[in-house]
Amino acid sequence: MSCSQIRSQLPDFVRNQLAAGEAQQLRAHLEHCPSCARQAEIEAALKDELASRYAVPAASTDFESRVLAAASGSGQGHKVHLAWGGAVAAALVLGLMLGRGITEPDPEPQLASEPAPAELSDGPMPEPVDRTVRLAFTAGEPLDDVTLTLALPPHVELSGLPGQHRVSWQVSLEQGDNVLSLPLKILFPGAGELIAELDANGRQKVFRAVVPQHPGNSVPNEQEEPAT
Amino acid sequence: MVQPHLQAMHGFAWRLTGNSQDAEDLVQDVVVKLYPRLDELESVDQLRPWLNRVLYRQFIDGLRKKSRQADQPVSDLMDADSQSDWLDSLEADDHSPELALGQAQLGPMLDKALARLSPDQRTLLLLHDVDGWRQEDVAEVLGVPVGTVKSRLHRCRANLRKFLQECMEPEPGSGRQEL
Repeated sequence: MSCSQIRSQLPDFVRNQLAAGEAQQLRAHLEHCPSCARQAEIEAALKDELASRYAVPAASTDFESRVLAAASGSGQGHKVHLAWGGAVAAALVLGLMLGRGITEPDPEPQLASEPAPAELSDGPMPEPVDRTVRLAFTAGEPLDDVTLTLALPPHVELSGLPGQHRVSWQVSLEQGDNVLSLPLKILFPGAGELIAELDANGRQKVFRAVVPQHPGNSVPNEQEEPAT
Repeated sequence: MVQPHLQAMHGFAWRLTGNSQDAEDLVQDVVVKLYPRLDELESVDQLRPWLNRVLYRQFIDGLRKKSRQADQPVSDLMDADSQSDWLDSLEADDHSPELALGQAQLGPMLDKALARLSPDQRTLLLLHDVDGWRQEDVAEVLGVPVGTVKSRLHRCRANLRKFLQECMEPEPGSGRQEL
């Protein structure tokens, strides 16, 4: 087999998904081809990195019981809603002035950016930078069980949640101003906006906010505007 | 009957939706829908792929409903207008560049490269290469030939490696490489 053919099989080879004969043939090639052997090492590293960074998180502990209860009727109508786990959840909870939320959801969110210390890279490949964005929602009166859904452009993630560009969680908002701090990771220069959707008992409101620019953006930083 | 498959269904749903809340809601919707049809389930030989197929169709139906809402602000998780299968929207970029990145940089580069894949490509890649789905499993759920899955997976991998390669290349004229 040619090197090209060998390399196309490396992803399956490192996952032990090749037939025994093919695997043996490939091993024989790697023994005398340093270049392909190096690619095999990289494929193995890639496999491990994918597995460690992108494993599906476990379902909530009562997930099964709640689903089965809903199916059998005892929990009918109740959706399964989870709060985030881990450090990200902690940051979000701390950033949110917990309380009761919006009943007459007339929130007028404002976006404020809290720049992190400058961490620019002049290198050819922009490094991700951390930025904290605070969303402020003004609520007329308290409300629990508000679903907040965030949609992020491709170049932005929430810190600790790589690869996720749409996330939801339940919040309670209190009367008056509620501030939610979002730890963002701006992966590379790009354009786009953060979209926050609040769903309070079926009433929905959508807000759009400017995402802080990556320092590597060639376009001058635009004035960040309040979400509308 | 369904309980032994709930965790696997959750894993698939999470791959499709990208978050725990929607994943659990999706599984719940499917199970609630199937509950009155337990007799029918008993006649299914291979229940897990059958359940995953129902789950996938439920997910696509949900996307289509969302896409019909005029002011739906977020609909780019999957291209709901691509009709039958999200795999159909995969780009064809069929070369496999040689990689030469250091492992220390692999994680951040991988994040960037995966972010550049379409959600469809990312889902297929992660289902197969991380979750261990066999190509036959994917084909069964999506209702496409195994060969189709194989070729699309190959293109997903090629695109990922191409993006990884681009991540490690210096910008023109920079005269500097950080690897």
